[in-house]
Amino acid sequence: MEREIIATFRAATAKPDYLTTEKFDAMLGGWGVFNLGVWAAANVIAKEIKKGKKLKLEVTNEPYTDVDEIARKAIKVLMQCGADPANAALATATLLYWAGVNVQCGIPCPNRKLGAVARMAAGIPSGRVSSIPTEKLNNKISGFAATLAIYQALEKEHLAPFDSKLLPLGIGGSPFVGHTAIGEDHLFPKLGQRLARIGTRAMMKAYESAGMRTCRWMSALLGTAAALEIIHPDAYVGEEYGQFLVTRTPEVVAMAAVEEAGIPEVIHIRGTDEELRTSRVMGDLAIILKDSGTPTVVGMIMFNEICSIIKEGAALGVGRAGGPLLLPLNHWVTAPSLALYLFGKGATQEEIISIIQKTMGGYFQEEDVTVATNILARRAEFIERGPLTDAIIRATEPGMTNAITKRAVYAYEQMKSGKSLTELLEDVQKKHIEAIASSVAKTMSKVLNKKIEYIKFRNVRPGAGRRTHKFAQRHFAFDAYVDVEVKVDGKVYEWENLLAKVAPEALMKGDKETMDALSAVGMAVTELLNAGACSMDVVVCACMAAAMGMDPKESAEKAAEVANVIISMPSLGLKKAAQLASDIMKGLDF
Amino acid sequence: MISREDYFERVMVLGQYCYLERAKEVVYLVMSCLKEVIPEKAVQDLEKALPEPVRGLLKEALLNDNHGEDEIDCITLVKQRGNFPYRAAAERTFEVVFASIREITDEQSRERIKALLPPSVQTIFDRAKSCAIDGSAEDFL
Repeated sequence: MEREIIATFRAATAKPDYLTTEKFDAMLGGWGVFNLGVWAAANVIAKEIKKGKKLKLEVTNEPYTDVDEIARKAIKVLMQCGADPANAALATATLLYWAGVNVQCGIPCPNRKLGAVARMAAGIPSGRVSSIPTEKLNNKISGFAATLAIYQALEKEHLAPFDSKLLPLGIGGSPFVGHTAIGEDHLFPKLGQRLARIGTRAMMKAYESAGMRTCRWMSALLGTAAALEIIHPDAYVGEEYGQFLVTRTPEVVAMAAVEEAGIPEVIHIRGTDEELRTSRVMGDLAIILKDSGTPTVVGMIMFNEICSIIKEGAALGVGRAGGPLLLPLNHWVTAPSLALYLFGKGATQEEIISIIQKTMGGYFQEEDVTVATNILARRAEFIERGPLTDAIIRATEPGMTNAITKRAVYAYEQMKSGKSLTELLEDVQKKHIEAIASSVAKTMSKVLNKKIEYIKFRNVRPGAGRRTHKFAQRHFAFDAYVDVEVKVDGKVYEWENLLAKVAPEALMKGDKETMDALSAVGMAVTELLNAGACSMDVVVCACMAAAMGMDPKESAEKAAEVANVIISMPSLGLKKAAQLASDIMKGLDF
Repeated sequence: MISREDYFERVMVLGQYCYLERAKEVVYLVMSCLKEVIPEKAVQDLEKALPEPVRGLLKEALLNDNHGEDEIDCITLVKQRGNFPYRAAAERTFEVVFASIREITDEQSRERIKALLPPSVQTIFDRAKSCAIDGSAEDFL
């Protein structure tokens, strides 16, 4: 192996931050994200499972259970990583849920609910669904839409399935209603389902009205949670809804919300294809949400991303980092969440590794995603080592080594044959853009059930003309110019200046045909805009130039200037890696 | 005696399966793999020990006697034939089916049944007291 290749490989991979434009240390302050805290908390929980702690809420006659203790530990590490207490509580409850803890158990005392366990472990007050925001989808709404609609309906109509004035004196809150046919067969399920439908519809309408594509999942979830805030949230129900000791009101209420939102009745776990009843999961998550306190938007992003182990996530709106897009890394928690789920189910480390590797194939850019997952796992190990990061590193290390080495060998051969760094990077960037276009065309053909023959990016560069500021002229992410051609079902569409001109004009005019056709390329453009999340193509080339004698500062600056699309933001890691490649090269004595 | 339909519905609940078909599949899968690894005489004894409708299901289960050397453990067999993503999922399948059997048998029959099972799944039979999602009624006592 050539010394330049060794120096490049070592420099590029020396620190996790070198292969991304993201600011990993800032992730630890809770500023906009706390995903590394989620990675750490997942490890904390896994280690507790390994110790033999019982992951079950039970009707035992004791003030605290193992779950309380585990929750406290997980919340502590999350808050150390910048999570707001309510966000830490919600993330902990959700991780524990996927690890296998039941969300509720009990009778009047003890009545244990997972969300409340986490909230009390965080030492925070309870919240209300009306104050729970949705995750940010550019804009965001809140559960207020569901709550408002539900209370308006309660005022305008009579929603209970009987005349409440007829209820006998003195039975309010008694088992006469709550533990009999009146409550279990009629009041709770029937009223709950009506409320959930109203809440879900209101959420969907609010999303649209606020300029977002409707998130069916969050609409149903907050619709269910808002309904559970009114009806008995953990009552048993009549046998027509499910078996005694098994089915409770959350699932029954969620059935209506799921139907109202048009969500499939069955969802699957990413990587294993295990089937889950949607209403069961929805009901469980709704009751967690209802009891966890008042999360912030960031907390809801993390909540959704923890749940992105649901395979249908991208289509339903359950997290966005589970694939197929390569999002900014501050979203990413799918791998630890999935590893924790598998760990809780009793999967061995080898099995977890194999399944995590399989999930890498669910993204448009498998190699970039493997590297991104690897660097996050390695950075998370600085905070909390554990069986999950260990498995994820093992799952991604071969892919990462392969990806970086191939690039280093290619860069070495090209530069050895006389190509300049500029020529090399122009070629690498072109190939990267083409690879994204090809992968998105292939995947979106299946998703849209259309024949997308090709996506060709004719011109991609910073500076679409919307802004005059020099910074925007230099960096793709701030004013991207894109000319693209796409062939969909035999028809060719050619668009010039897509983001600054075509897309906004079509949207404002309500040009449905253009907007529909844009569905074929939208994700490819998004991949370009997010390309800096994994910057290995650029870092490797800059390191190779530095290893081959170019001034490291100059190599980093030239690399960023030439590869101005795929490293769409400035990167400190690039400069540090190039310097390190030069240092290593000078120190090698063989 | 519980009907086959009710039995499969109970298996569906115990295993949290989304479809009745899945409950049927796992019962037949477990029965067929047990049949394959248990000596013929023990299979006959097991048939006698099991209550209906499980007895009939064991009788009907296909004997697909073509496993490789590395598959002689019945959990491995179930994992491979059921295409389970990890071994614990195959073990869980046994737990679900055994839980359903335990619910319709008395303590004496359970001991007889357990003794006839392959050693690798006897512990699963023990822990399969109840795998209902919300815990068994015993939780309340």
